[in-house]
Amino acid sequence: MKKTILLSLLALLALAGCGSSKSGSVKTVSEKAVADREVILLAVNDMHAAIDNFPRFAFMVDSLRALYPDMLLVTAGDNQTGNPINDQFQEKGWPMIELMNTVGFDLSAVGNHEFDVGVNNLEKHTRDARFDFLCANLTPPEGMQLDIRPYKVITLPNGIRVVFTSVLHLNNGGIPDTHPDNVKGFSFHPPLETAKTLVHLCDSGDLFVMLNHFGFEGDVEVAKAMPPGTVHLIIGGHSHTKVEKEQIHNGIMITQAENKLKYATLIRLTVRPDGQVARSMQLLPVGKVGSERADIRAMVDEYNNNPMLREKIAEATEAFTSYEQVGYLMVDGVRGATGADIALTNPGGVRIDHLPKGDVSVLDVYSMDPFGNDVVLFKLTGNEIRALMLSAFELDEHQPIYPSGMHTRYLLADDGTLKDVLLLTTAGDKLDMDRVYTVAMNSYMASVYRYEHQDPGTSLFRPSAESIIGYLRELQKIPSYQEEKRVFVNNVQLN
Amino acid sequence: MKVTVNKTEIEIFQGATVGDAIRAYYSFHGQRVPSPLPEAEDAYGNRVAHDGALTEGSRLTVNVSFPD
Repeated sequence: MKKTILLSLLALLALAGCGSSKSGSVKTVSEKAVADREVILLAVNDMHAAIDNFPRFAFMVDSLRALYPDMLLVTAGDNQTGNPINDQFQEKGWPMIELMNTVGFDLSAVGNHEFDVGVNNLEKHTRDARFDFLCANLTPPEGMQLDIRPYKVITLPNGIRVVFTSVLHLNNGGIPDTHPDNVKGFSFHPPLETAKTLVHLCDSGDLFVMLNHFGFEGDVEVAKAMPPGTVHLIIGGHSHTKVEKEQIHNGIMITQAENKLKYATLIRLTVRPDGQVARSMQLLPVGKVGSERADIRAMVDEYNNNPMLREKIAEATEAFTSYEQVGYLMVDGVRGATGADIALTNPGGVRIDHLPKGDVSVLDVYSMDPFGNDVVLFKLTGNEIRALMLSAFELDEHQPIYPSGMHTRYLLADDGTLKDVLLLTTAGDKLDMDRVYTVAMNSYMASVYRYEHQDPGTSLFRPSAESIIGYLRELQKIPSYQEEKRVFVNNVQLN
Repeated sequence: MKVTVNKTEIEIFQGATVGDAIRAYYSFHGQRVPSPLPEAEDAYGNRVAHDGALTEGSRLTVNVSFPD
């Protein structure tokens, strides 16, 4: 039977008789209290595999735990993606899980980038993590053993019961911002609508906290949709928002601590004997500088020295000796990995002009393409591609774009100004200018080139370097690019 | 998707980040994109990192202005 987290949650709520629990044991706990009781949380979000900040962060966590032994450590998702040391690890993303286990996280929201590691790794991560993953608006494929809970109740030594739940942002395609292949077979439910169905969870504890990966603006919408007094706190992620001062919307405090462990939010919730809840927050800088936890430093150093990144993923049969040749390899990689008709890269996107004959490693690919730009797919006509080329020429200081799947001929006037660009097939024929082509390019190009086009484009949420690595791993033997000519520049009009 | 930078509505690819929107804003106004990019705030006055995710209708403010 299909495992449906949302339906399971609703069923549990029905069995629990949520509406009638107001006079049950939960409130009895509060009614018996004669003094204020505190809940301390340390919250981060969007760590994006910033493992180099972990030694410092772990020292901070330990220091705060010395003050607040029952402090809960939570993250609002996107632990993964952003650092090749983690992203290209043998078991993709495992360094982050191991570090989070060692530092002692209690909970993590599921962010869109949790899916980037692939379903098999995600399944293993949710099983091997010594903390719980939360997400209430996804249904995994049938048969998948994904250990993700819709909510969790944590009872602290002082008797306070804190209910946590989480909703995940979905894009216009109805899936999280990850490559569609990563979420095949999953069903996702609208986050705001799901959040509204979760309001009854407030009766299952003294405090109700949402650990969302929905973006700050999404969290404000959630706050506005919740009846007053139900949700006490929303800890958010996804938009990388730096919330420095208390943000209260519809009586609900919303926090977020930018990204990459630059900050963490220390949150104090005080439950009064009458059940009223006082809240305060403080944004603490983390960063890399300061005292560190030695064992975490040793782990991070070991990850950073992982020889895997220097191991051969393919072999260059001839040396590459120009930006042009390396650029052609890059766009061939992106086109091969995406299945696009055409792939393009800007000349500034190619950072090395030499690649020796012999072994090519992951680090070599990150040297040629270090920016971390995602691949964006467009449906463009030949005329729209031509308009892109014309726009790009000025912006790129009169350097042509490197193509794969087509050739180009730039026609220059005597004074060097661009008169036109002719688009050709790889066989040298004129490209059909009315046909629609699937065109892959990096997100920098997708945002800076200004030209008329109908399709605004869709990110694949996969860095171009990662696409190239995947392509090279399959290719194994890279042919010579020494004689490769795809861009011609002259002032002669072709017939 | 459509987002707004200062008072300029920009159509940009699905999945664009804050940085992508700022670059598109400069490009829209025919300006060269600076490095580093200027800092941005969301509609609530919070600073947002350049690699932060945008959603349909997001509103950003950057401390630069261009003539219409």
